[in-house]
Amino acid sequence: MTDREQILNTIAANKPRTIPSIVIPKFKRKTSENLIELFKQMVIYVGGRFIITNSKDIFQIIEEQYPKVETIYSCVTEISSKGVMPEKISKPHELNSVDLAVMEGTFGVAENGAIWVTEKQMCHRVLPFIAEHLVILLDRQSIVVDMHGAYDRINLSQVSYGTFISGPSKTADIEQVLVMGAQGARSHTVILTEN
Amino acid sequence: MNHSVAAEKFIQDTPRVNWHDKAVWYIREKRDRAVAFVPEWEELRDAAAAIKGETISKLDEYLVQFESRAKENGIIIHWAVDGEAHNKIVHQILDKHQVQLAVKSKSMLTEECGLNSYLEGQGIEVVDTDLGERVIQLAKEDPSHIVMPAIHRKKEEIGELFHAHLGTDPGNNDPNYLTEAARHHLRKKFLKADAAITGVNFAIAGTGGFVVVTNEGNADMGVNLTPLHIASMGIEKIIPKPEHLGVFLRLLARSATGQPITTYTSHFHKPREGSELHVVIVDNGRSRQLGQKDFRRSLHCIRCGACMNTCPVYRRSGGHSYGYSVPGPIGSILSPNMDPEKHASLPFASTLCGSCSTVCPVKIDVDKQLYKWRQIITDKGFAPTKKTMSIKLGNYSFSNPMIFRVIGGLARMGMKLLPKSLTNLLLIKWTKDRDLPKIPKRSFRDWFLKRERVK
Repeated sequence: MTDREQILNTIAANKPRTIPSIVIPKFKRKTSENLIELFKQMVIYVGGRFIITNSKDIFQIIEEQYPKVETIYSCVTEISSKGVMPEKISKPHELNSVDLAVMEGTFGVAENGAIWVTEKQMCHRVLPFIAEHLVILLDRQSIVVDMHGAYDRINLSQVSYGTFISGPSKTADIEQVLVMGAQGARSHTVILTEN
Repeated sequence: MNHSVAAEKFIQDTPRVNWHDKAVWYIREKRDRAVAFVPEWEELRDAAAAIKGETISKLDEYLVQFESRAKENGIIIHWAVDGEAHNKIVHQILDKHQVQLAVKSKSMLTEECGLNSYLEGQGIEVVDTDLGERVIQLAKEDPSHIVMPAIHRKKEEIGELFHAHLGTDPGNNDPNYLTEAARHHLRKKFLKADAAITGVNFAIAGTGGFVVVTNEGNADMGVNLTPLHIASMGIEKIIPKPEHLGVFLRLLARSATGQPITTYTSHFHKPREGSELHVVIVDNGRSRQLGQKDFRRSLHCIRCGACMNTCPVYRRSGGHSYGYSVPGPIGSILSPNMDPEKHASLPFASTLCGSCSTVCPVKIDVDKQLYKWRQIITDKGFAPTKKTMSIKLGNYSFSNPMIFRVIGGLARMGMKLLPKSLTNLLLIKWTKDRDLPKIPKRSFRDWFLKRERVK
């Protein structure tokens, strides 16, 4: 008997009587809630920077926020990369020199400041983690209330790889002291744009 | 390993015990603050418990569904009945790819299976990339907490450890400085690694993918650089549908650390172009636990660690006292299923206060299960003789009024006359840190009879 058969047979013999599946309750929300304001508060709470702008010149805003960065890898068509040639990257390891990565997110979640970013949006799966700093652009109309709303918007079977990112990489593994920039991005800036 | 014997060593250093107690309680307080922001918290807990209950009632069907969808996604599936089978499978995959260095993010399952030492025995270097895990790996210790593996270590000790292994400045114990040093050290390992190993937080049957959460980004950094990703999951990690993630992700980080969500919540459905993705589905006693009506709800556990943070015994005895990969209340109801004799003392390492069950996001009746394990362990004859003897003695005297009166009289006299050092010997050290209550001159029975006579 294979391990697979052994496991499945034991489960079949040991499982309890079938319990019917449940419907996740719909939780009541105040209609007056300002989603952008809630989202902003959470982005800041989780250690991120928050910018809301009507400007079309996002590159300038980024340069103001990160005056010292030398290499920028941009996955956004309207924003140019700097000091790095995206089309020349053949191995993800070469991205180790990227100071700042710029990408779009699909939507944000007001209750926790998380932004859903898919493989397509991040160019390389490792980019949002390996870059020293991360900027995510988000359409200000794309904020959902909570994680239930989030999964209503995602068709998971169509996403090869996707991640919610909420703030910069962090750890509190040494005596509970919160330190930003553990293994991934040291800083995290969310720019809410107008489409 | 006996919990009370190990705990006795831990409590020798009183200031350290107080420090540990406070550090762990602090996380419980953060959890409470995060929970207060979610008005529907209790409804979420109910939903989570119901989803888990339904899932384990059809666990075989969901596992088969997960397998077939995952295969369609290009994920290679393996099955392992126990830890040894798991370790062999992982080694075979690594061996086939001629892996010399593997980076691993936190996975309690691989701790349970003893994967690191197995692979090292086969000549493969494994580097734990979660900061806390790296600390204990360098210190050659086991994790003492499932979410904060190095919670028992002071920054001075980590400073010394990093000075010896990573060449940091002696005496510099600043957590920012030490974290920065670890970042550079680990970045080199990430760039050099040939494979990445991760755990699995949730596996979705309906879509054949899985979710891994971290705060550091270490899981994603590893798997997205290397050409080989092996994810190990216990059979109980299955959830039926993506929408269920909405419930569990709202509960998990808030319960674990008081964060509204972890920094990274990554969903893996297909391997990266040019890389391989393997999932090892591990049983290791879980299907046996499923067959025990009183204990199957322990399979709901999502490994948040909230029950440890709130437990008065865990906080004051430390995670290592439990001698099992998962310590604290949840470890004390999981471990007897693995080996009731070896872990016989763990269900007794509790005051049965029930705080664990109150904070559990998936509503496991931890305290009730602790109580039930005590009975099974005693019936099997694994309970300490001192405990079984005193219960037998109690039973004997309480059911014989004459004997009860005699023993009561002797005890009153003894408690009055004997020095504390001797009562310690006689009374199983109950009086070691406690004084005996004031002894009444006579028994209730004597008092009552006298009162009746006066009437």
